[in-house]
Amino acid sequence: MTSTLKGITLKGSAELVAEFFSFGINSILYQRGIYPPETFSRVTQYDMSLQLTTDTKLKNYLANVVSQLKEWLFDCTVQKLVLVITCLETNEVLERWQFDIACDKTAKESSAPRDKSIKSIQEEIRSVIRQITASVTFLPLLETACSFDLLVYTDKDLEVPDKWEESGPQIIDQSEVVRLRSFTTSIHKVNSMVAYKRSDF
Amino acid sequence: MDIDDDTTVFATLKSFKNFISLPDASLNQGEPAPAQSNPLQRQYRQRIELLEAAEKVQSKTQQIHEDQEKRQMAMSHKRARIELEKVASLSARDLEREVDRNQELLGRIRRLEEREVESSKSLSEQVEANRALRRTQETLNLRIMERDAKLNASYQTVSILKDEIRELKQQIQSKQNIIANQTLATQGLQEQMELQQRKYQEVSQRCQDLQSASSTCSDHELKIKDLERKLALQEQDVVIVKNIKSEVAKVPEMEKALRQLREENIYLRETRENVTLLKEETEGLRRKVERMEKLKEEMVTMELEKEKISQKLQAWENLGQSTGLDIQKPEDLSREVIKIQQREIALKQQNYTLTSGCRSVERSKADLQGELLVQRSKALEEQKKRETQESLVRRLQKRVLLLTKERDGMRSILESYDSELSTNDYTPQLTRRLREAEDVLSKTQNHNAEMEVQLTKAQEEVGALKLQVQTMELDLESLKKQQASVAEGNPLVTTEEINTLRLKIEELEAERQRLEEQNNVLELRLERHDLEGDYDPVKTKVLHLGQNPTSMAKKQRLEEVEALREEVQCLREHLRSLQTGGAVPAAVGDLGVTVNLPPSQEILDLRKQIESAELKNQRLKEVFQKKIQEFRTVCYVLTGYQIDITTQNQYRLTSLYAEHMDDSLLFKHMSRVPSSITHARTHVVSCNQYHN
Repeated sequence: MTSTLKGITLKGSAELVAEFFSFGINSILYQRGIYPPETFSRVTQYDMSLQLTTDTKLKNYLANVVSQLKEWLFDCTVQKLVLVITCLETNEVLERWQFDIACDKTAKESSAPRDKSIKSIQEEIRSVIRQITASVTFLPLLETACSFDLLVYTDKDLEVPDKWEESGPQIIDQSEVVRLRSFTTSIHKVNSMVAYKRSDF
Repeated sequence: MDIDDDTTVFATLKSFKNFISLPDASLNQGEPAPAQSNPLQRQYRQRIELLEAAEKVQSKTQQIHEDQEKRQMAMSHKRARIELEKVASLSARDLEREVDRNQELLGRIRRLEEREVESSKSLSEQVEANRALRRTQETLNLRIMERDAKLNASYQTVSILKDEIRELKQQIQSKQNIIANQTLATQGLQEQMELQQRKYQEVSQRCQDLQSASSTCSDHELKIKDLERKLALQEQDVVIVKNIKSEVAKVPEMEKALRQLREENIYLRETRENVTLLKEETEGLRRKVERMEKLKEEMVTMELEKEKISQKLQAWENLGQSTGLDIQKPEDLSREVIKIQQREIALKQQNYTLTSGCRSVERSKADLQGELLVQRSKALEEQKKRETQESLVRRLQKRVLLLTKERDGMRSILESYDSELSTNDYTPQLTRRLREAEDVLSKTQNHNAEMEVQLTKAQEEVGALKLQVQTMELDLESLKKQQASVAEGNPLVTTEEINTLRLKIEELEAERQRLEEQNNVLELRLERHDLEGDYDPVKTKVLHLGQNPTSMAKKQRLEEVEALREEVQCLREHLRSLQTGGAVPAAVGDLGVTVNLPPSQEILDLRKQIESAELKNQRLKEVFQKKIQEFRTVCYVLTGYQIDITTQNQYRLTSLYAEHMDDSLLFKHMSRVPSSITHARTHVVSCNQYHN
């Protein structure tokens, strides 16, 4: 519905941001080689071709997380989404993709749509995803078998839903942080950054 | 072919014979003439003929060879033809088969085409049917939509009505509840009413009883009071009687006490008189003591005064020595004092004059400073005026320059246009361009003028501000000077305060800077931590799904590791069992892990080989033992000597015919010379002979 209307509502903004996360996480998993490339299929989104996983378990997991995220984005109770990549042999955190979400809470009170075109938002999202793809050049190679986890930073008083549990922040000690571009829907602003473990030479 | 060969041979023979006969004929013809001449010529001719015959024979043989070759070629040709015919027949058969197949395939193709046609027909029919169905479906959908809309409307009305019904029911229920509550309340109240009526009756009965009882009580009370009065009177009488009795008993004692008291009275009077006398004496003594103390104090003060006066006297007497003046009498002192006073007066007068001069000077100074300020402000104003004028001049000069440049430019343009006008005919465009250029020029000039106006305003403001600043500075300086002059009057206190205040200010500023730096550092750290993912646990918490890929991967890894460990343990046990030499162990079925290593063929072969080798060894040993035993017994029996090996290189020789059983000869093998044992020199080491 947001594609036909000109304005952005809170619900539409939540959907856009959740969609971005879904595609962004898939591209990160593809670029970093967490899952073999033959398990991904090409898909067109934001006027560019992106990779989506075809593994059913992974799809279910991502769908669960993204749907819950959408609810929390609508309630403006989510502060960050973090994708943590851990090495399975040493149980060390090697990379941390952090997306800070700043929500304009006045949109909750007034239901009037905001004036921002979908195209400009999509262009911003496109540049962020391109930057994620380009980040492969400076990130260190992941040579060992790795797995990923998605962490969500929420308000303290939020009710924890079923199947969700509290966890630690899984911070990398001695990390290098690189800030990537950000995009805003005029209701939600998403800042992206990647932190990776300093490789000792 | 042989026949042909024969025929050719015969043919050649015939030809040869013919040929030979011909030369004879030719020879016979030519004979009579040259026959006499030469037998050599005949031989020569014969040889030549022979050669020619040989050549012919050769050519014929060649022909025969060629014929043979031809026949061979023909044969091969025939064979090839036969083969070709065979191949042709085969290919013809194949062709026939393929033709049949082709026909079959063509038939199939025709059938399939027919089927295709039929299926296309059926497809088209079905498509048409589909279309018809879709149309009907659409119509049905439209009807359904209409019905749905109607249904929705009806549902809505139904829901509205239901809501109304519910509300009405609720109202009814509430009213019924109210009515029920009210009936209950009325019932309760009625019951209470009845209860209270009963209570009222009971109470009224009790009241009546009480009244009767109270009346009786009051009568009784009256009686009791009368009796009590009587009792009290009687008691009083009793008490009076007792008192009188006791008093009567006390009378003699009282008389005794009376006497004692009178005696004491007398004694006390006497003592009282003594006491008064003594008091008077003490008072007199006290006064004396006080007088004495006063006298003592006066004595002490007098002595002190005396000493002071004596000191003063001495000082006055020594004055002359201490001051250095010719003072021997107090008159001289007074004279000196008068002199000093006069000097003092003079000095004071000077002081007054000096202070008045100072004040006048200060006044003049203040006036001068005021004038200075005014003059400085005037000078500044004049400076500013000059600067403004200079800037104006510069601007005007610039304007002039610009104008001249513009004029030159315009002139050049005009000249170029004029020059162009003579050759080309572009007047309207040129005029247009001219006008546009003029418009642009005017706009720029207006813009320039506006900017210059703004500039002047700004500069005036700046000048005014500077004036203000300078006046303020001058005031500040004057204030400082006043403060300094004031501070000179109270130098100590104010400077100290100022210094302390300055120190405090410096310290505070330093602290402020330090705190600012700390703040910046902390903010940077906070930002860094925020980037790294740190959070405030009071406000945020971190959530993740329990069934996430990392935990699943870790579980899988653990399971794999455990499975591998179990496999390793089983393999180790298997190895141990194998190393101990047991048979192939049975499958270890613990935990569902079957380690069923089939014994490899190599191991079985090797085992078999080992067993066979061992068997062979054993047999050889047995055989060798038997044989050697036999040989030794035979040697002993035949030669009569038995050779035993005692230790290395030592041999014992026992004879069959020895006198004693234990007689023997010991030999030792000394291998100094590398030679066989048979040639070695044996030394007799010892000859044991045992005697009984």
